[in-house]
Amino acid sequence: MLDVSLKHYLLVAALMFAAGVGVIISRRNAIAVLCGVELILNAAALNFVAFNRYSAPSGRLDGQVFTIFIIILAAAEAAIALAILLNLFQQTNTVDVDEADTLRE
Amino acid sequence: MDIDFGTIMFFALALVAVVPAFMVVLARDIVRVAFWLLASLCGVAGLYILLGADFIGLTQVLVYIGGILVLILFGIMMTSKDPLRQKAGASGQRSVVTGLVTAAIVFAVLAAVVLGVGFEEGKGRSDGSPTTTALGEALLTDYVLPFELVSVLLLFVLCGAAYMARRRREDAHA
Amino acid sequence: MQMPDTILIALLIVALPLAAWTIGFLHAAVRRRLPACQDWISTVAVGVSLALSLYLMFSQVLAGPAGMQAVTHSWRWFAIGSGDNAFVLNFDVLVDNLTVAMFCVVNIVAFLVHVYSRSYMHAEDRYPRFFLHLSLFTFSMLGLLVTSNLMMLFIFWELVGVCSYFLIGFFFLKKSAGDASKKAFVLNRIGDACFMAGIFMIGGLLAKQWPGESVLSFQRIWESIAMLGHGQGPWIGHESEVAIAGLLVFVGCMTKSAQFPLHVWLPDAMEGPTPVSALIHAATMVAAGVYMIVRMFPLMAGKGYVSGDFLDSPALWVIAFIGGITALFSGTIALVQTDLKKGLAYSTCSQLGYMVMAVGVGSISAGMFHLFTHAFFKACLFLGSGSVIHAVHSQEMKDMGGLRAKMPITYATFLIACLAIAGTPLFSGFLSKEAVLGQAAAFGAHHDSLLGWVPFTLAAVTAFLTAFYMFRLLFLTFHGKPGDRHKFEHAHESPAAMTMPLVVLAVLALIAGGIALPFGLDLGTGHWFQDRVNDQVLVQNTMGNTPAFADMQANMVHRHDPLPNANEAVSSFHHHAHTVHMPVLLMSLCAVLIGISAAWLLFVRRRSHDIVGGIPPLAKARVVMSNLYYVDWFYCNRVVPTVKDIADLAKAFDKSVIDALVNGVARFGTHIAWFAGRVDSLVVDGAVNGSGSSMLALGQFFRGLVNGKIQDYVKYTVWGLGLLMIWAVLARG
Repeated sequence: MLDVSLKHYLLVAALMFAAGVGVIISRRNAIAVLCGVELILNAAALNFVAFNRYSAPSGRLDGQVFTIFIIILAAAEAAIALAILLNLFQQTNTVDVDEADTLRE
Repeated sequence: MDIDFGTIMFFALALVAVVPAFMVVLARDIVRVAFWLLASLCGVAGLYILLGADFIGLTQVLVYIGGILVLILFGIMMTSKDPLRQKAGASGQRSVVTGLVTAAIVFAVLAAVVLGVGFEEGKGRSDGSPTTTALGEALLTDYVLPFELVSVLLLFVLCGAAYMARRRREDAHA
Repeated sequence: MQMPDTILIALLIVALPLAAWTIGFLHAAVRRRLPACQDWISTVAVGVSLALSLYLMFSQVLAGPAGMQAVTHSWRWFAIGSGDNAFVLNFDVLVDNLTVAMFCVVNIVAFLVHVYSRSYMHAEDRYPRFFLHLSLFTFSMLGLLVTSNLMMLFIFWELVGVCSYFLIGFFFLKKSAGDASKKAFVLNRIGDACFMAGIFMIGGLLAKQWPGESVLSFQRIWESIAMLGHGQGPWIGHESEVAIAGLLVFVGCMTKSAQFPLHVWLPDAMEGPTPVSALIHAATMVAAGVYMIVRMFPLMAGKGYVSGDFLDSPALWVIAFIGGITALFSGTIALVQTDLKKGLAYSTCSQLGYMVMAVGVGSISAGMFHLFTHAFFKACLFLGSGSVIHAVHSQEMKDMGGLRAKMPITYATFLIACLAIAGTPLFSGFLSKEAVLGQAAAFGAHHDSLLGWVPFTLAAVTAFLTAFYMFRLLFLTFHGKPGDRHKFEHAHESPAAMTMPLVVLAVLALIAGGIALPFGLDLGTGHWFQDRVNDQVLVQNTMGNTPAFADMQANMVHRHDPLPNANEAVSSFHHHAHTVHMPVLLMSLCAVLIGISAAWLLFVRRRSHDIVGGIPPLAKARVVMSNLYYVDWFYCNRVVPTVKDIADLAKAFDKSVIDALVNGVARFGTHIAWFAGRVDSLVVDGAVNGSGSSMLALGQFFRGLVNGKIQDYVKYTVWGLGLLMIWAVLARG
């Protein structure tokens, strides 16, 4: 029976990260893209916790502190992103990212 | 056969975290995306707890699931006239295959790094005692400045978001 | 160089018939038809030519004991190449005794035939065209005589050949006439091919000696042979080729002069109008072959020519035998012919054999003399036969008989001509035939071998046969009972336009050889013709004091006594020529007498119509002779199928090998071309178009990349990361 080690957590985080990237690329809805970003952030946070669990010196919780900051920033990001999306929706009546290609012109 | 309860829990939670994550890619419509994300975030929360980060795990449930996800659902409701009919096909999704291929590449890169680099595994915390106290001490001692900055940041974000999301009357009338 | 008057007159003689032809031709070209008075134009032209020829004859040739001094002139026609490698063709002109004598023969016969034809041919279609052809023929024949360049001679040789073709096939609506003209034309090609090969051999060798000169002129050829006699010149190291070249040229003569076995075209040529038979196929064109080998006699004689000891020359042996065989062979066929004109045609063959044999046994003077006399009496015979045919509208002798009373003038002239050709004393034919027989006998005595006597034997038997068959023709036509009463009743004497030429020719047949007295005539003292036409006069007068000919005088094989310094062989020949002279004379007289008597007995007394007379072996022989000794049969059933088989084989080879090769090469080429085309369209065009379109596609590609969509940017970033990863893994190793 294999022991669950750091690598297993890292691989799970990698899978989540990959899924997050996949969502960002394949989804057209801006909100779905935001979900992908959340997945990526979660993957990163999971890494921090896992490293903190397996590699940090005893008694140190630096990884978990970083995770708290990540969660805070994720919340802030989600708030800002949704605000932007609402603004975009008011302007173009859509949240399809393919339509929001004004940058291209 | 010696079956470790922790190991089973890990694989179970890992499945709960990873499979919904990929279902986010494959889901038909935006509402389902949000709920698959919910599942995935729950799995991650479980993994946090399994890793002994009980406070983080709970924060995850509170903030993410209770806050961000609700926020996302509100966003969906406000931007989509008929969210459940936003199909995955022609208009709902770009190319699933492209997404999966790209995901595979990312995973390959990361897995190569994970498996190729020999991470030093120390003892770490494994006793399972609550971390809330220790975290509180860390935030108010070593990480007090980032903590205050994040607080200010959150303030600005809330103000900014409220400002941006505000419905402009003249625009509405127009 | 100032052109001598003689040359000018000679060229005028040649040019007048050409002018007549040109007028008619241009008229036809412009007005789409020949002038109605073409007969007058042609006749007047040839008449003026005749007058000029006779003027030359009497003022020059007959003026002195040895005739005229030869005059030559030369115009450069063209040169191929330059310097020493040039092939030069000159229009060389030589006018000497022989030329003028032949001019007279041709012009007299041609003029009389023109006059005769105005009456004979008057009712025919294409009457003006007939005279147009006659004019062209007369010009060609005269041109052949005046030139002294073998290549030019060949050109005129071909011209007379084509005129012969036109005129044999004049009644081309008749199939047999068309076939006969084709037969004559095709058979003559055989000889012409050999003639040309001979010319090339001679020209090729002589060009080494005289590079950049007109090597095919007679003078150069004679000189080269004389130099060979002195052990120098271009033929040294090529001695055997002298005989080969000579024989090749002789094959040309064989077809033109209808020698066995290439004689078969001449009897068929009788399909042509009778005046044409008289002019072309009796008097002139067929004699051109003899004239040519006379001019080329030094070549035939080979290296012994200058020393006079040339009777062993292999070419001369062949010529003598061919001539002798032809004489006898054709004479026997003439015995059984039932067609008057064909009988005369075989007689012509036989007499031509005489002439050729005379050259072969070493006497060009005898050969030319016989040619000269034969032209008149044979033309007379042909025109006489034409007169008869005109009267009874048939050529078959069974339709004739008893015409003596109805056509007295024709009968009288025909009789004179028959006496002349038979060799009766007092007639021209006697002298010339005796000269030939005497030369042949001397040839036999000189060699003193069985083989050596063969030509004489053949000639002597032929002399008898000639008398016999000619009188057979005469008796069957003019004596006895009419074969066809109806035709006999309608027969009448021909108009004056036809009988006058007969009379003139009959007179010439009588006196052309000079007044011959049978006994007591010392031929050794000289004769007007032979004094003027012989090797010495012809060649040496032309060559002057050319070193190679300086000592020739002493060694001429001639009837005069040899000079004291002549070599032994020549002296021996002269001795024999004297000793055989009288026996030969008597023998030929006997032959004539017996021949005429036998004919009289058989055809007048016993009123027989053929030669068999109830004797079985003769009946068998008659079958063979009537079938022309199966020569034509052999050609048609053996030679032609063989040639066809060879042609089929060649065709099969052509088809299976050459064509396959050619097609294969072509197909290979098309494959190469196809491949090149593919390469072009795929590779080259592809590269050209591809460089353009690939740039376009690259632009499209990058344009597609930079689409302002963040997600795509992320995608590319990730893929780039993947590539970097792969690179990192590979680099690590």
